[in-house]
Amino acid sequence: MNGVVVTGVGVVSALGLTAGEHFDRLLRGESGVALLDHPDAAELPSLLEARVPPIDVRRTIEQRLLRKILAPSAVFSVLAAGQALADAGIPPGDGRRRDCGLYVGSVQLDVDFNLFAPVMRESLDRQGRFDLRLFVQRGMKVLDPLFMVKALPNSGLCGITIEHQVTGPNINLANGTVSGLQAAALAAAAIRRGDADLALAGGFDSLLHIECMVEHLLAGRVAGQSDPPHRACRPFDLERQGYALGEGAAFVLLESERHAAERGARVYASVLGAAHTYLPPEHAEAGEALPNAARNALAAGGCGPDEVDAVFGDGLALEAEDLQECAAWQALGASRAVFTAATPAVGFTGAASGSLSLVHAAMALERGVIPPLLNCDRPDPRCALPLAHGPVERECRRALVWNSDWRGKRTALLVGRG
Amino acid sequence: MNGKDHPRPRRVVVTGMGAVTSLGADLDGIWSALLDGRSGVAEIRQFDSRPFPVRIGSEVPPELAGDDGRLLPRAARFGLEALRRAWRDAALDGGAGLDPWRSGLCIGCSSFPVMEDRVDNVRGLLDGDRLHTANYLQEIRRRPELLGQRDMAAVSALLSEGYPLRGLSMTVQAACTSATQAIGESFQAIRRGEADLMVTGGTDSLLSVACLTGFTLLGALSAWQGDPAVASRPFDRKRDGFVLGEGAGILVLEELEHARARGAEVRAEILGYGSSSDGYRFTDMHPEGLGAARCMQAALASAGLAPGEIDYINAHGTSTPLNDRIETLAIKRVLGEHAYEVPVSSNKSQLGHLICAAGGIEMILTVLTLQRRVLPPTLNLEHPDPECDLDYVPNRCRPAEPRVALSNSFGFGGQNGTLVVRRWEEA
Amino acid sequence: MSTLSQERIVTPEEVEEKVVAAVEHALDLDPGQVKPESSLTEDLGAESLDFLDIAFNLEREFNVQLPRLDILQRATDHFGEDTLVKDGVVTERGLDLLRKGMPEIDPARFRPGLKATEVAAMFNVATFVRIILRLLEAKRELPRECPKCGKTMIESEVTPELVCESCDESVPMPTGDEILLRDIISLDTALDR
Repeated sequence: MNGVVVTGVGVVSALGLTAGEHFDRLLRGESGVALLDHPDAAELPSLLEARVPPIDVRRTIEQRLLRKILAPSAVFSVLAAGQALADAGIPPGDGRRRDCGLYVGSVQLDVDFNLFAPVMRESLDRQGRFDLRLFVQRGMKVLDPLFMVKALPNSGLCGITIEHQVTGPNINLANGTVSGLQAAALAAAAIRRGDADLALAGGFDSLLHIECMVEHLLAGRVAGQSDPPHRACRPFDLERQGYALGEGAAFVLLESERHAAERGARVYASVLGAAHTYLPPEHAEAGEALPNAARNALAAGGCGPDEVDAVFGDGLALEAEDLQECAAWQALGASRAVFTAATPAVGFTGAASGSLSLVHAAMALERGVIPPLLNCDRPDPRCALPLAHGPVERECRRALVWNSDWRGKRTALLVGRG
Repeated sequence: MNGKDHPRPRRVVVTGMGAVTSLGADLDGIWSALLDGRSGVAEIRQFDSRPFPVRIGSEVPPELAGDDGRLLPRAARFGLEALRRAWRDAALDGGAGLDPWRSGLCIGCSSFPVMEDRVDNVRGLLDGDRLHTANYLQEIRRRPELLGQRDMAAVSALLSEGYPLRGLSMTVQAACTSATQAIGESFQAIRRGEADLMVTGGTDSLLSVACLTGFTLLGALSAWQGDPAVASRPFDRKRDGFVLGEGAGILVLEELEHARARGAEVRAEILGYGSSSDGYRFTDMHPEGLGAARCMQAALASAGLAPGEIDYINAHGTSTPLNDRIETLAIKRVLGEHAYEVPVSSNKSQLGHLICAAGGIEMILTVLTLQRRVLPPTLNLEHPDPECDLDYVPNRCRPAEPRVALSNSFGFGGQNGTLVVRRWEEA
Repeated sequence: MSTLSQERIVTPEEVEEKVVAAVEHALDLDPGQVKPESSLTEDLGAESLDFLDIAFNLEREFNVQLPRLDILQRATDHFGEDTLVKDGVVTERGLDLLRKGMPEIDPARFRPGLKATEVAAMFNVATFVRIILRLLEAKRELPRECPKCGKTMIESEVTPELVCESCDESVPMPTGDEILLRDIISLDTALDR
């Protein structure tokens, strides 16, 4: 069996436009959370956001058509994927890109309602009702003919293939939060069975548009205003109140161990095992799903629970989710593992969240320091987790990354070093 | 990855199939309709399509599109029905002693904002040329089902829900290649030992005002104004775009020994899967068919087969001028001279293009082709195209003895997928 | 939306300026890179999605409907099989029509053996200008009397149609496909003579 290693990382987040800047700020305990500033949200209750800094696409994306077609979050994916390739020393024009795999987690991209507003307006009859005949005659004439291409969930993947000429085996998952981490598991499997020597894997998402804001607001999952805003998201804290909406992309370049050794590549970490489970949250045995995924990932990697040095989880600052992560940690018996999560610093980043955690784990293993979990000042006594309140310097040999979707999907992935 | 070393690669077989299409939901019925040369394409009826420049589609009959009161999107209803049929076809009713943690589901599906669902208070939602956010919030409070339509994870979650499937649960979205990629990844998950049973395939319905409009504006649809049944004409010189379809095709894949242990009837064996990207353009295929060819080659390599061992190809064959020409080129690139001896047919000539579900129903029909020893036709092939010069089984089905078949899917965004499947013969 | 006033005659220079602007915008080019003789595909690298984008913006700008169909194919349906295109190759008669019908293209490029699918790649900025001027001309020739009440019809600000000021009757303008097909038929008749 081929071993699989991480040899490149790339991140676009509220904390920075490169993995290095992002991780340094994460280690320093900085946060990208601020008051939400969006024209559509003016009439909503005050919300928080973790927004990616402005990107000059004319300078960062070479292919003209991509600049026109790609939604902002898909642009993140193209940049993060490019970073991971460059970081791994696979430059543009390198023939190895042709057979490099590409495994991407995304969601349905936003079709901005404001794109349809003029269309709707033209399609109303005198009584203000939508009229199909008027829609075809008038509304359609003012609708951007490219709207559907711009909203393709696989447009990020397609953008990466065009911009970076990465054209090997691939898949695009649109599977909610766990998409990005699942994509990494599939990529590792492809390398293991010899379908590719190299594979990019990652996820991207943006929750900063009106439908998401409304959805998460109504579900009671987002933190309200807090002073200062970056203190708002408090996982495992008695005053937890949810998360800030975030956005971003994170990619790793995975490589067969042999291939990496032959070319003398720098190795961040090895991917040792992965597992997936699903049970709807209301199911009586739903609590088993996350620990089962974690146990199966450990078993796949031939690793005992007491060997795990760190767990990179979600930390959504929601009661049920926080308790579920604690219960999973306890059920697993990972007695010496430190627990951390980046949601307080980068917001909830949806399909990118598991990929971000994977990058954090890989960088933590390489640098020997685990990034902190912010804002848990008064821990909920029910959450007896060994949290990383500050950066924890520790020689890590095994780290577990887990990621849950609110619909009940869970993925766990084990990485190691040495 | 699974921690267990398997001395021999695990074999993956098809043990159940279920479908919902414009030609019905009964597999025998669909099959005989295809052999009889019937088309499921007609005028769209689920909304008033008369004002539209394109008015035809391959629509699931109303009796199969009924709602169970849960206000589910059509694609979800088709998926549930096809899954119910596949589950029964695989004789899995009652659970059959499955280990639910080693059983999963991976499905190709898309979702799009369904415009007509949002329009009963459209004036209230408009604030000049923008969305009136406060009114929108109110509307959503009133009709929460309008939310979450962008979340395709919901579809695989919903389908898994009522079944003992607690392992891998995934929704794949790779445009027209989705279902093929879903089947391919399911095959890989079983082969590498991560799962023993996977429910897979695709379900989709883009026959909505928004999507009909979207595809029309892209110029992708056939503008045929005559008899709807002859609009979809893959490989015909007069082809002018695809016909939008809807439906679902779901398969149960199992590890061979697992299937044998529970006495399941094996329908076919999946031998290989390959995928690739064009890396060229969003909606145009690579002009030399390089991406499509590499995908077929990868599938053959995965199956350990030589090009000469392929007996039949179930084509992507969309009836767009570009796809059919490039697919032909790519087949010749991969099979060489053997290409002229291999029959190729496109079910889209009769069922239209099921987009994210296309690879699911076409895989089922490929399995039936192998089992029943008849090649389904490519309908409406009347005007030969000098650039499409293979044997497309024109207009009439044909008895044959194919043992190994390919099923191709090539999608918007340049994602390609090919599956290799072999007729089941008890050794 | 800034639609050019329809009640005055738009000059060819104005049309050219707008086409150049639409092409620059769609292809993300700097001013000065687009010339009247620039071929969109061959010189400027436009692909099919760019054509949709450019057409969408020009249609809104001039309130016309540009042709959608491959005109040779459309005309073939009118003239009969194999008259203008045979086995995908443009016939002598088809080449003659193209040379006369697309005067902005070097006639030497319409050489025997030309494939029908290669024609669109020759479209240049002047092609768009010519077609738009033709559609604007056709628009001016439309009768302005309402068929229902006899009052004056004015042009809709949104869509290529005339609407009656008093009775709400609307009449769609002929599409680019219709107008160009008519033109190619009369051109063919003239060539026969």
